[in-house]
Amino acid sequence: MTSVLGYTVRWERRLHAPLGLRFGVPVLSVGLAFVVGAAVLAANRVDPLRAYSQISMVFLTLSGISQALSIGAPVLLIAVGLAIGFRTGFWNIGAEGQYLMGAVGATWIALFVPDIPPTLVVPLMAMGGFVSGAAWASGPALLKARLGVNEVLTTLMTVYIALQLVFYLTLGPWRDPLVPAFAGTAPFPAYARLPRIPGTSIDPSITIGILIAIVLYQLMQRSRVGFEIRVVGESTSAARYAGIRYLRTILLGMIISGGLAGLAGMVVVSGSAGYLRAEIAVGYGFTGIIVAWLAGLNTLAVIPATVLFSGLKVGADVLQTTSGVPEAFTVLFQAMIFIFVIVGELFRLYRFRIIRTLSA
Amino acid sequence: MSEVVAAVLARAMETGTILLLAALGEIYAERSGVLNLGVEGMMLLGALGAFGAAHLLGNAWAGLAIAVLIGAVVSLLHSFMSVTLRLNQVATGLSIYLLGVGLSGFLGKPLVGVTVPGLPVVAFPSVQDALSKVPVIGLVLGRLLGGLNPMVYLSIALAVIMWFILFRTRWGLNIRSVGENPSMADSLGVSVFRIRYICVMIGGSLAALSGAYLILGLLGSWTEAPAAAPVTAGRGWIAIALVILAAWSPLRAILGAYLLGGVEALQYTLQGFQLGIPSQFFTMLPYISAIVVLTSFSVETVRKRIGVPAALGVSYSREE
Amino acid sequence: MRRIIKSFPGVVANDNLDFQLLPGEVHALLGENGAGKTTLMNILYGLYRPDSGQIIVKGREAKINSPRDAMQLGIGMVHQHLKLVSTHSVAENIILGLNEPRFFLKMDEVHDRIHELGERYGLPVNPQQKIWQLSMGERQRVEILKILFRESDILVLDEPTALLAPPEIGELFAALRRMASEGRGVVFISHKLNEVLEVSDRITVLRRGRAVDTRRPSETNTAELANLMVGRPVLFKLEKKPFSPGAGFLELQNVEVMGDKGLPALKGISLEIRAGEILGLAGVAGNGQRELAEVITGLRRLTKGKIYVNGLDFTSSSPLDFLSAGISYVPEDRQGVGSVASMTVAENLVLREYRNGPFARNIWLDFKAIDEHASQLVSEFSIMTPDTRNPVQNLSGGNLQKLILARELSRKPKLIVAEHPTRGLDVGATEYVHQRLIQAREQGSAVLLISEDLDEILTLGDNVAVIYEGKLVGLLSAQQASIEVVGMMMAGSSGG
Repeated sequence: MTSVLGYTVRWERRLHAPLGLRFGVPVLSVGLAFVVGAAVLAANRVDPLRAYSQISMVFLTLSGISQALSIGAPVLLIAVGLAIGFRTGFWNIGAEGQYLMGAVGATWIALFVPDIPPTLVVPLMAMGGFVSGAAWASGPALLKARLGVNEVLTTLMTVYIALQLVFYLTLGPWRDPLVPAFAGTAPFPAYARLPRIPGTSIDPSITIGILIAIVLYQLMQRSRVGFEIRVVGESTSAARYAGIRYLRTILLGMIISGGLAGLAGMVVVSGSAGYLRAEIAVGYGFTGIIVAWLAGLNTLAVIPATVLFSGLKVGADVLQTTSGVPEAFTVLFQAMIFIFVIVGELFRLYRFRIIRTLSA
Repeated sequence: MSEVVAAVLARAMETGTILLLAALGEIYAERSGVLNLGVEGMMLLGALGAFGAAHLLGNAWAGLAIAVLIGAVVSLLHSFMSVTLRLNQVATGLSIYLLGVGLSGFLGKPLVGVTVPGLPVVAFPSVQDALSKVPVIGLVLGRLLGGLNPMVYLSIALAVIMWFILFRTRWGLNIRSVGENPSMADSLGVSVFRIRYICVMIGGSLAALSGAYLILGLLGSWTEAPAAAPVTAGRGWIAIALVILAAWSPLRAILGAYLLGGVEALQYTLQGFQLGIPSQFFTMLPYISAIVVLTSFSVETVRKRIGVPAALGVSYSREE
Repeated sequence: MRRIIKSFPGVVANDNLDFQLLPGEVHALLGENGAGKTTLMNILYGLYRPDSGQIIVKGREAKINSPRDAMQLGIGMVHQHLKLVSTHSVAENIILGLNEPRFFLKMDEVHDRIHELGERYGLPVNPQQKIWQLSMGERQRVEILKILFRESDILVLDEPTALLAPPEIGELFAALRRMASEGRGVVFISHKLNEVLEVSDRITVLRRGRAVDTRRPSETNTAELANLMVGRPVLFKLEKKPFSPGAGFLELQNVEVMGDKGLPALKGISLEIRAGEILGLAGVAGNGQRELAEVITGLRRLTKGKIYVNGLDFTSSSPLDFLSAGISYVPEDRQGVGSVASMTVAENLVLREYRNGPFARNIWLDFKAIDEHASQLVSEFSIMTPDTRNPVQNLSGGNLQKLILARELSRKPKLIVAEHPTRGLDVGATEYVHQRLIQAREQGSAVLLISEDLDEILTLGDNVAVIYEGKLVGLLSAQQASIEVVGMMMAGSSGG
């Protein structure tokens, strides 16, 4: 309530957010990020119009779309999981680590568990990825639920630990004996790879991700568990008052959140990559946070948000090769979208009025 | 043997200073009630600014000054979001972190492979001479008084001054009150907004200074790092854990910083011993110890004794 | 203060209000909750800014934009919710916000002055103690000393008696009279008629943001003041059938628990509540009432003792077990515990029953049933809401309380634990709640009524238990219980 030149901005809580704003705020946020991004590009002597037209080509060509979809699957899975996790009030910002551990779990099944019938390898890898990601997330979850340990810090710490574990494995016991100069496992056998959708270069993981998003949306809105998650996320004391088992609910949220991040790791090693290397940690876990937020923690809205973000990522990669724009431009762009989204949230919740301050 | 001890201690202090600087700033921010989770991002921007400025101006001290300035400016953005707009402080902190990662990666690209002047080391030869006559202890102390980065001594002085201001002056009383009970402080005419802005700015400046010290004093070169593991390597987050370990006291932060710095320093020494343990497990140590610190200080009885600022992370508005 | 107008979204809190305070008088502001008393004083103290109107202090028009401005004009305020930092010392709390000393704190001088002031006004405290070590009454003294330390000559006290036991109220009134006799002006905000008549020189009655009238105590009486306050004659009697208790429903044996600060909050409580009984629990705030309520609803773990519900051992049962055993709970914290702000009226109305039929079918919820249930309760309890899909954060405090009462009473409970059920409600709603509680008793429910309002406890309760520092210091039947006897017990004396 500071007044400037006799005028004060007054905010009033809205009773209902108009539908227009619910869609308008995210769209505007992305738009503003484009405007600021243009300035950043121009300052680096890159013609923003040309850059943006190259990015938009991603959404208009078949090869661009299929590339976007192939990187879209992990982001989608992570963001859907995070949306549920955040709803329980659990600030899991370590999805990147759970993603890496999911990749580790899937790799272990693909390369180091003998005698699995080939047809079962991929399903088992998916399970391994999910379980490893969920297990990795359950440490911070238990610490938070039992002792109230700040999960923002612990989940982030586990990213670094997971990264070192992957370094250790790929340089040590799991290193490809044929290419010892490289930190990485041997390529997966064909039966450990996700099949391609015929006639394209993409695998079916994106469709599975979309299916999961839809099912979870229904569960959140219409089921008892969804109700419990929503109550827990809002207020733990209200949840206890309502007779909800807090620990079980928060662990469930965390298992979904960490498990889907782990599944995303499996999708990458079994799909586009075909091996385990530390380089698969490209920041999907952080992108997922922003996507979940942009979607208002609504798992259905995560789908279009993912398409947008993965398209931008592919576009930025194109820019990198054609105009030498650093890869980090994507992260910067995402950070800007994030800032605009959280600030825009205010306009959804409050009405702003500029009033003349009393000058009596 | 005392040579090894002295070397480990010196290294613990030098690496601990990174954490100390950032934690000191975060203590002020949190004491005023603002949780700044963007420390890592501010460190990155400080490191970038310092490195760029030192390269362009040919002077490391100018780099530090630029870093402080950048920290203050970025803090303005953070306080605007968290104090004025009262946004969720986890989200605002995270956005500053991602901004730091993105911006430093984007603008830092041309700086890869560039050389900069470093910070001079400081020594006290006469004291060292005097100490060298005392066996063992003298040698260790002598090492700590000679050839260390000046920021080590500066940060200790800063911690003492910041402790004094916080607990023995009117400003400090105002800061602590705003973090404990903002509506009370407001009703007594203490400006919650001004104090929070200033404290967040102190926090950001020191975080940026810490990043500058890291890059100019210890690393010496800018490398292109993946988004998941930027050059600051999570030290900003460890500094936030250190604030809890220090129970929000600048003096205790010194000890905590050298303890956590020691964990990091130890890994280099232990790797030298060829224990047959892969180096990655040593690299994990600082992160694991941060989790251990957080866990042991979250146990209820301990938490009650150390006294978290009551209004930490809670935005304040008069008419609600 | 002239023609003060202040509106908040949806309500006009002060509607063209005039108020005048003379030096040397204790002036009471009397009104129901929500009448605009606190708003008016917050404007005087610079916390709110009026939409229009004038404030004249000592003959000059004043612009008060912040508490700092108010303090410079010699205005000090003791808020209803004490504004103290519990981890700081008394002295630190008192000097906060002063311009002197400029930088270094000189605590010795401060300690001396606090001693001196405390003696002069009969408000003794130890300046070096931390606030959390003090009782509520002592904390309030600190608040008053804070104002005296600043040498303010206009003092505003917002509902200062809510936290005090009757003997402490006497001491407070004596201190207020002494301040007035020194020429200071004192504003005493209250909704309690007797207190207002006892201490003040003049009484201004507010109703719905307007000043209805100003009277001297000698010219008026409780009935007239109540009439002015509410706008219609008020019944002081409630229809109640004679007390005929049924079987014991809940029994506590020697219960001990820890409070939030890790200190013992209940020290060996034994208690029985029977079907068809309203047991009133009297006590000054913070003596273990909330912890007791949480024990009875399964929300707080015992460190010692036993709980029996219907004869079954419930000592280590979950909140859900207590809930399913038919125990309803109207918690003190309506926003944080009793409801979920972002969820709808309908969802909040099934917050404790959602898992049972007809609202749930296997893993799914039946929103049609939930909505029908909500519409029925909204009309039965006249909850003001545009529709049942409205998030409850849009409801006013009184409406939210009605929603919680509707949910808890409609469960056909065997025991209702009602914590301050009428706080913040207007007289009409209060009467309604009282009727519903009596109705529940007549249908055979047990009721544990926790309240700071002794009148409420004495009119509704069949029996009255008094709690002091985590112990039950007395159990009386309604006939034996008088304000005086219970008041003494609330202050720690175990009575006769």
